[in-house]
Formats: sequence, C-alpha cells, structure tokens
Amino acid sequence: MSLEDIRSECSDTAALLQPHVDGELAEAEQERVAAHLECCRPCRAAVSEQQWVRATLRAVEREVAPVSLRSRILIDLDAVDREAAPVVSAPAVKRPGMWSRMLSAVADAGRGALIMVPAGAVAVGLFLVVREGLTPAQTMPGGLGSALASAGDGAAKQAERGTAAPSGRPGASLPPMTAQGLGELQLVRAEVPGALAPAATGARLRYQIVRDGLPTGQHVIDQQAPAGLTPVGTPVEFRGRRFLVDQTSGGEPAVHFELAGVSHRFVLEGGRRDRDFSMLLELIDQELDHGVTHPAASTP
Amino acid sequence: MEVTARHDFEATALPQIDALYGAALRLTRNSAEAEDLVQDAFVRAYRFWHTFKSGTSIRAWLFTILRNTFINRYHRANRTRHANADLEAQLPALGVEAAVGHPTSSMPSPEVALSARITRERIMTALESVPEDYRMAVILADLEGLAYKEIAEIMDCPIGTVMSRIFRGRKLLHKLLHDHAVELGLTEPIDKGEPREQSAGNTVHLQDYRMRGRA
Repeated sequence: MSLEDIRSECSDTAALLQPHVDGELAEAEQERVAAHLECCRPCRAAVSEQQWVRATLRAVEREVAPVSLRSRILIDLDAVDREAAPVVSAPAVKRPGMWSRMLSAVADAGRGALIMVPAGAVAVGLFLVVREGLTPAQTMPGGLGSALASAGDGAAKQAERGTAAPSGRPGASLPPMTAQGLGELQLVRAEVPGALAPAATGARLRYQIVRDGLPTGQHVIDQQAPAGLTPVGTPVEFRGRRFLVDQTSGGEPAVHFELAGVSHRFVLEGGRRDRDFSMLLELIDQELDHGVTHPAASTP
Repeated sequence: MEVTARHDFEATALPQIDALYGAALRLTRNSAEAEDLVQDAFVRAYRFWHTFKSGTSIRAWLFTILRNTFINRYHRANRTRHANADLEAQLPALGVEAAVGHPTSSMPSPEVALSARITRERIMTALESVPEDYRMAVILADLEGLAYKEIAEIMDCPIGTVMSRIFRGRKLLHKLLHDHAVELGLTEPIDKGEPREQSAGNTVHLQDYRMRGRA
C-alpha cells in the first residue's frame, strides 16, 4: 500500500505534513498546511506525533565511537597508503589487509591502558642490544630497567657503537630477521642520565634499522622514563600486546609502552605518521618477541 | 596516496566517525559489527577519496558509502523483499491509521515530557526494530539531521520515497514507544472507538510533490 492508494482527503495533505514537520516546504505551502491544520484535528495530531518522534530522537544522547576504532582505521589507511606507494616497504605491500585482521580483536582499552606483557616475555632482545651498546664496565644486568637507573657519576654516560654487521656483535644470539625483510633494531648510541639528572629523566637509546645486515640509515629513538607517568596516545592492540600510539610535533610516528617499570617511547626518526606506524609497531613487536622466543639471549 | 590527500581525509572525513558509528550501531544492532562496518566504510572512503567533491556534504558522501558497505556486507540478496515483508507483517498490527497518517492515539499534550521517561535504550531498541529502509531514513533525518535531498542521494531514491519512509518509520516508532508508555502506565491506551474527523484540506498529490522535489 502506498500513500497514493489511500482514498482519504487528508491523505493528500499527508504528503505535505511530512515536509511541514521537517521544515522542507516553501512558504506558500507552509501556509497552506498551517491553514489545513487549523481546521483538521486528526492531521494536527498526526503532525504532533511526527514532531514528537523527531524531537525524541534528536534529544537522544549520541554514541561516541571507541578510541580503538579510530586507531584501527588509521592503521588500515597506512596499509592503503603502502599499496599505493610501490617503493616504500616491501613486506607490507605483500601483505595487504594484514593490519585489519591482526587488530580485529582490539580491546576497547580506553586511555591510559599500557602494554601487558607476560612475566616471561621480558624484552630480552631490547635488553641485549642495550648491553651491547655499553662498555663492559657499564653493563647493566637488569636490562632496560637498569639502563634507566642513574649511572652514579653525575655525568651522562654515552656509549657509541658503529653499525657493524650482525656477526660482529658480542654474544649475538638474535635470529636474523631477514626472512621477514623488515630489518632489526641495532643500538648505535645510549645516553644514560647521571645522578644529577631530574628524577623523570630516563635513558635515551638510538637504534639503526638494519636490513639484510646492511644499515638502512633509518633510526629509531627509545626515550625511556620511569613507568607510571601519565601516558599519551591512542591505545592499540598489536599481536596481543597493548601500545599507545601518537606522533611527535613533527608528525613522526611514536609508540609508547611500559615494561618492567620502565616507560618506553619509540619514535621513528624522519618517519611519517601516515604510513610508518605499522612498521614501527612491527619492529617493536619483533624485538619483544625475541625476549619470548629466545630467553637464552638474556644471559650476559 | 598523497600526503595531502591523507591529511584532508583525516581532517574532513574522520571527524564523522561518531556519526557513522551511531548509524552503524542502529543498522547492525551489534557493536562489534558496527565497528567493522565503520572501519570498512572508512577504508573504502579513503580508496575513493579522489571522488569526493569538496564543497559538497561530507556526511552525505560518507553515509552513502556506509549504506552501500552495509548492503554489500549483510544483504547480498533479497534485501528489498525482506524489508517489505517486515513492513507488511507490521502494518496489520498497526491498523489502517498507521498507513493513512492519522494518529494512533489522541496525543496528550504533555507527551513531549513522556519522552524523558522512556529510556534511551528503549528508544534505540524500538528504532532497531523498524524495517531497514525506514530505519535508515529516520536515522538520517532525525539522528543526523540531513535534508530530504541528501537522504535521497544516500538512499538512491526519489524524495517522495524518502518522505514516505521517514513518515512510516516515525509512525512505527511512535506506535512502539506509545505501547511502551501504556505498559508503563504513562499514557492511556488508544481508543479505537474514537470517531475520526474528516478534513477537507487542500489536495496536493504526492506525485506533484515528487515532481517539485526533482525539479
């Protein structure tokens, strides 16, 4: 049954009642409807009924999309960008849609959620490279947690390290990551604050991304701080780990997480937030995985 | 994609995420599916971002994509038939008044106050039970505040159809919420025996309105 079929004088006006309610009539028509409503109670009631539903719905409080949904979309957009950019990152181009699948189970973590890593999953891979970056006298058996601790002599200690081939690394038991083609993080510099540094100052580590044993010239900074400060960023879950993602003032992608009492903020130097988030997450996740899959690497 | 395109998209399209999510919730009736739907819609929108004409309504454009994505995703076949079947099943229960546009009750004047006592959840549940095309039209008109013309573009139908969908959708909603109000004792049941006035209003055919709408 359609409105045209209904044999009722009011039904003709019914076609105008609707635009009248929604303010879509021209002035002359509005007046015509108003005149009709004056003398027709049922139509008046029909209008008030429509107006009531309209007003009721308009007054309803609106939903807000979960923060994690926005993150999922941004990561998907990264993937689209990678598809469109032929030279950028080969692995991601080979795996379109990977991010949406991986992140399909993102928990609505809310702001302030931090990484949850099982006790055994201490980031040994990261710890190892930290130790490699320091001289033997500065070896910190506690890993990154200790790297945060004061070096005790009042001056910032720095450790410089070249970008030697993997074979040159002392005690290197990290598996080569060339299978994935993503590369690995190799420490090139560690700045450890001294005792006089403010309490919130943590170590600052600089890594170079090394792919197929060759330095790529791309660097990742890990700025550390004591855990527990108010973190900033959008929560995302990546391979079961939770991170906060945001960006630097220069638009470089930044990933934040806490581990063993230490807050880490990884920034891909010169990276672009519109396409490099996923690579940074993958690199970090990969390093964290080393700790899980190669516990022996934690032995000094 | 170009950096500027990405920037434009994030500045123009992405802020509509709440509106799309709200509509997706009503369409899918499920928060996980709504999230997936909105995610798919935004990715699709991004792929076709070059087709968006700046200066036109970003919301109308995005809702068009959302609706198409929804239809592709959940209704590959027989969608229209099911919607009509839903409606036909509901019309007898509503009585002829629902079809011809006469009120289902003599509205008590303080009825606006009634809405404050019907919970948001109840309103949304009622909305979700309305047949899909009517629901979409009502969502776009009353939740999103879009104009008939925009809704017609989104739903790919004439303005007259938009009007009748909104009209019937609201009619059904009113019936559902009124019944709920009666259950709660907030208002009187509909008096079927009430004599109806016949008005001699001006005769304007819907077809005429459609012609104007297209012009």
